[in-house]
Parts: sequence; C-alpha cells; structure tokens
Amino acid sequence: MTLSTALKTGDLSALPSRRDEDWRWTDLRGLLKVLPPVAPAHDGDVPAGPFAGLADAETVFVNGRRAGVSDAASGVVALRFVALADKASQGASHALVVKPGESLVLLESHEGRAGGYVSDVALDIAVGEGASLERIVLVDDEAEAINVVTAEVALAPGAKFAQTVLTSGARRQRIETRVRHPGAHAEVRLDGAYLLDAQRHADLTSVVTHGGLDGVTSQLTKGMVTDQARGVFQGRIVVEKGADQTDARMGHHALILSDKAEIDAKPELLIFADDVSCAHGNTIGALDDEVLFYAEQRGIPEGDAKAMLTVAFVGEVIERIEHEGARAVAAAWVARKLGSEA
Amino acid sequence: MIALVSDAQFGLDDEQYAYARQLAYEAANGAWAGTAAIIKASASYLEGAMSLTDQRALLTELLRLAAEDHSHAWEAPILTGYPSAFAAKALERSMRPMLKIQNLHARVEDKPILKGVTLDVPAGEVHAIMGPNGAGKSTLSYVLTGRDGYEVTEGAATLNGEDLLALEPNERAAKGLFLSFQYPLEIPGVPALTFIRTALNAQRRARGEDEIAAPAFLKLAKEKAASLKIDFEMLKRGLNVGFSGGEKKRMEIFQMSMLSPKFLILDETDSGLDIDALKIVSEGVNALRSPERGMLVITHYQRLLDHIKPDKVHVLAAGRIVASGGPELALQLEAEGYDRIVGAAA
Repeated sequence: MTLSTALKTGDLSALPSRRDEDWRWTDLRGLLKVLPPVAPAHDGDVPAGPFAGLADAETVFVNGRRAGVSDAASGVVALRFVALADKASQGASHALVVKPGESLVLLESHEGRAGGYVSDVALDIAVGEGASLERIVLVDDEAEAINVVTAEVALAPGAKFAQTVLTSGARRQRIETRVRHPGAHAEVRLDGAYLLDAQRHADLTSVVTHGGLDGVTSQLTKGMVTDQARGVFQGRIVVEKGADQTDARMGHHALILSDKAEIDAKPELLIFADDVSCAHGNTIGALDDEVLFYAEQRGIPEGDAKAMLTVAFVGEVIERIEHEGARAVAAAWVARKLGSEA
Repeated sequence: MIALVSDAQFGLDDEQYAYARQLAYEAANGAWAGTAAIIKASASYLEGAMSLTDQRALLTELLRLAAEDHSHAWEAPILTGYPSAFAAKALERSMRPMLKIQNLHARVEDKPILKGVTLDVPAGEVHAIMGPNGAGKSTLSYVLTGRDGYEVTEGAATLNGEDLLALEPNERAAKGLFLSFQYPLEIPGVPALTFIRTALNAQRRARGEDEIAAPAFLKLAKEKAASLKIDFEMLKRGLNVGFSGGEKKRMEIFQMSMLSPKFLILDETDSGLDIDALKIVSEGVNALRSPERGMLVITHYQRLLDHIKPDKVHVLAAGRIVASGGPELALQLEAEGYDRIVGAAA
C-alpha cells in the first residue's frame, strides 16, 4: 500500500487509506481520486537549490527524472528533488551507500516549484561500519501538492546516522524514515521540525528498530501548527529481544497556535529486551501567555513576539544540526517561515 | 530647567504644595481668581529667595514653554508680570502629571478588583503604592500595562496626556511605559541581547525612529552591563534562564537602562531578594531617577523604600487609595501594620 505502487501501476486502490493503521491521519486514497499524468521531462535550466554553494557535488532529480547525477558519497553532497510541472505526478528512487569509515553530509531538498503535483521519493540508504551520515532534509512543497518521501536506512556496527527534517507541509505530505539499527555502538539522531499554516498537513513518521546490543537513539521533533493546519507525529522505537543496553530517547513537542489547528501524535516504545534505558516525552500546548505578555510589555508586537518565541522553540532542533552551513540555512528557513527578522 | 527647581528650594511643605496645586488647577482651567492667588502666594514665598538674574532666566524658559503649550495656561502668571518659580512649578506639576489615573475600576473575570483608583505621578517623582495582599497592587500594574484578562470598567489612565487604555501593550511600551515584573519570565532560546534589541527596535519603529545599528547597540549594552556589574557573557544566553531571583531583577534593571522608558512601574521588586541583591537593584533604580522620569513603586514591605526613597506614599486597600502622604506614611505602616490604617480609612 504505497503511493509509489499506485504511481507505477495506475491502481488507485494501492494507495494507503485511513484504514491502514500507520496512515490513518494521512489518508491518500480518500484524497486522490484521479492520478495526474506523469510529469514531462524538463530541458530548461533549474534554479539553484536552498543549499547552493555548500555542497561539493550535486545529484538532481527534476520532475522525477535524473537530471544530473554524481556518484559522490562522501564529503558534502546535495540531493535535490525538484517539481517543475503543474498537476503532474512524479516518482523517483535513489540509493546511497556510505562506505565503511567514510563520512557524508547529505543536503537533501524537495523543491516544489510548481502547483498541485503528486510526488513520491524512495531512498535506500546504507551506512557502512564506522561510517557517518548527516542527512538534512528541507521540504518546501507547494500548498496543493501531495508528497511522500520514504527513506530506508540500514546501519552497520559503529555507524553514525543523524537526520534533521524540516518541513512546511503540503496539502498532504508524509516524510517517513525507517532505520535498521544494529546496536553495536551505532548511534542515531533523528530530528524534525514542522511549521504548518493555512490548511497544510505534514506527517513525520519514523521507525527505529534496535536489533542488537549497545545502540543509541536520540529523537527530537518539534512542531508548530496554526490556522487549520494539521501535524502528525508517529515515532516508533522497537527494541528487539536481545538488544540489551539500548539507550533510546524520543521527544515530540509541539505548539498549537489556533483553535482550528490539529496535532496527532503517537509515540511508541516497543521493548522486548530486558536491560534498556528508554524514555519518551510528548507535549502539546500553546505559547505561554505570561511570556507573551512579558515580550509585548517590552515593546514587541504580539505577532513578532509569537514568531520570536516559536523560532526559539524550534531552535533546539536547529542547534543539533552539526554541519554549520546547513544549520545556518535551516535557521534562516525557520525565520522566514515564521516571518521573523531574527 | 524648571523641573530642576526643587520643592526644598522654596520650602514647600505638603499642605502648601496641595494648596498650590489646587490654585494651579483653577488657573489652568481659566479661573483668574486662581491665577491671582498663585501670584500672590508665590510672591510671598519667593521674597528674597531668588536673584533677579535667575528670575529673568526663568521668565525666558516660561515664555518658551508657553509657546509650546497650546492650552495657554502658562500665560496667566507670565502676563500678569510675576513669573514666579513657585507658580511655574505648581502649574507644571498640575498640568503635566506624567501618569494620571482617574477613578479607575477594573475586574478580572467577574471579580471587581480596582474600585476607583485616582492617582497622579508627576515627572521627576517616585510614588510608592503599599498595601496588603489582595489589595489590587499587581492588578493596577497589569491594567496600566494592558495585560489580557484585566478589564477596565470605568475611569481613565493617561501617560503624558495620552490615553493608555486604548493602546496595545507594546504600544504603551513604545510610549515609554515599563513594568518591572515581580517574577521576570525565562525565555529559553532567546538570548537576552536579542530580546532587548528586538524590543528596542520595535519601540523605535513604533515611534517612527530609525532602528539602532548592531555595533551601536552592542556598545551601549557593554557600557550598561559594566555599570550594573553584569557579566556580558550572561547576555548571550537565554533570557533569565537559570538565573537567581537577584540576577533576574538585575536583568530587569539592565533592560530599563537599555530601553530608557519615561515611566517605570516596579512591581514588588524586592520580592525574592536578599539584602545585598536589594541594594544592587535599588542602586540601579536610583540611577534611573531623573527630573524627566516618573516611577511607581509597588511594594508590600517598607524595607524597599529605605533604599528607593519615595516622594509620596499611597496605601491601596480593597481596590482604592485609602491614604496618601510622605515617606513617613510607610514608616507608620511598618510600625502599626496595615489593619490600623486601612481600618481607619474604611
């Protein structure tokens, strides 16, 4: 039951629906009654991406087709998925292997430069022994778009995988990450931030499966929804039998800034091992009125004060981005999305 | 210049001051009897107290003020030929109480808290509001600064003649109103410097002024921090996060000195402070006293007033000012307790 299958076969019944437990807040079958035509090849220029100037190499998909491909899998690599065709569908898949001992910063962007498109991206990522990957995913979809991004990540012993997803949502959008964690001193950081307004929707779903001894996972997702937007967080950490000494922490914290906005959160820890240290925290609330008044009393207008406090709230996720250039891009993106000057 | 002429110079006691004020009020409202009486009274007070040169200087200043003031209230004493310092000062005070609260009623949800507060604080003066718990002291500060949930049902409050109650909280701040919070808030992720620069620039924009450039702001911040013995590194961390009570209050003083408001309300500034912190904070507040700035110091205890000496003390009880007097009133309250004074007034 995937969008990818539906796009390949044209069979709408392959779309996930609200009857699928993992998709109950992100129904595609009820929304998508007709599949749009496949996006045409694009032969013009492609505007620069959000991480322009930071990467040593660039792999670009335009309208679901490879436009420029680099084989580089170390250093800093940009991976771009650009939608340039209105009301068209596009599907792309890409595999990435970080060799043992190598280190890669992946600056991934999903750039909606058209309207009402349907997009599916499937990534297959392997991080070798002692290798490290920092994946920063900036998703800037158009308001009427439907977009599903799925990453399957397999880690070797001693690998490090750090991820930060930043999204402003779409008409319907799902960013899913599934990590196969071997334990064995491998480390995972799985972060995300969603900033949703109007009628936008974003679903950050992740599954981390700890299969062996001594694994670490630290997950922090923060979100803000306003107007009639809807945020979905589904985080599952599975600790399999024998995966003792697993240290797993999950946090999801979100702000609801309007009465009609909605957040659905489902944090899950499924633990089948004995000796583990696992915790999760999930909080959803409004901005503190007293703090807001304090800022206003000092002369900051209400709207600016809200933006400033929201930027600060999300800031914790941004601070955890290790790559300095990407962190600056992410911070600027957040400030722009929230209409803050800071 | 006029504001620098102190009461002490002319030997006015409270009763004389009140009488002068009444006369000035009549004069300002066009009652010539009031004007004449001012002149007569001031003449007798001033006999031999001022040199001719000083009087001429004063006259020049009065004429300048008269030209600025379209109400013409200044003209009366000038035109009759005797511009006494006394008349000038009394008039100035009467005409321009910086903060003017008239018959203010306010409620929180359905509960009336303020039941007719009337109070004038002129520029250059520090007035203390004392009162038992639940008297409405904090409510008064929140009503004046415009906090949500505090509803004004009657009365008025103006700052330099401008209606405060019609303005948003940030607009009141831009007009120069600053409330030092009893419990300053912590804002994780917003460095103190960022917060203050955002506030300062928002105020400047609201007043139609240019924003302050980053280098000028940093220079100012460094100077002010040094004078308040605040470690500059602390200003780069989240505002008030993990600060002690004393550090938070010092940060309030730092904000005051950076924003340089016209009127300060200090809400229970002494709460949570040990004696050393109280001293530092009081020195900070005293350094901000000036002829152009008014202050309202809200406190439950007299001890703060040992450090920040008020010109006037008012007692707020059950939503009204029940007694007003000089600094000695605070001492009397300390000695006798609120029950006696509040009881006597009731």
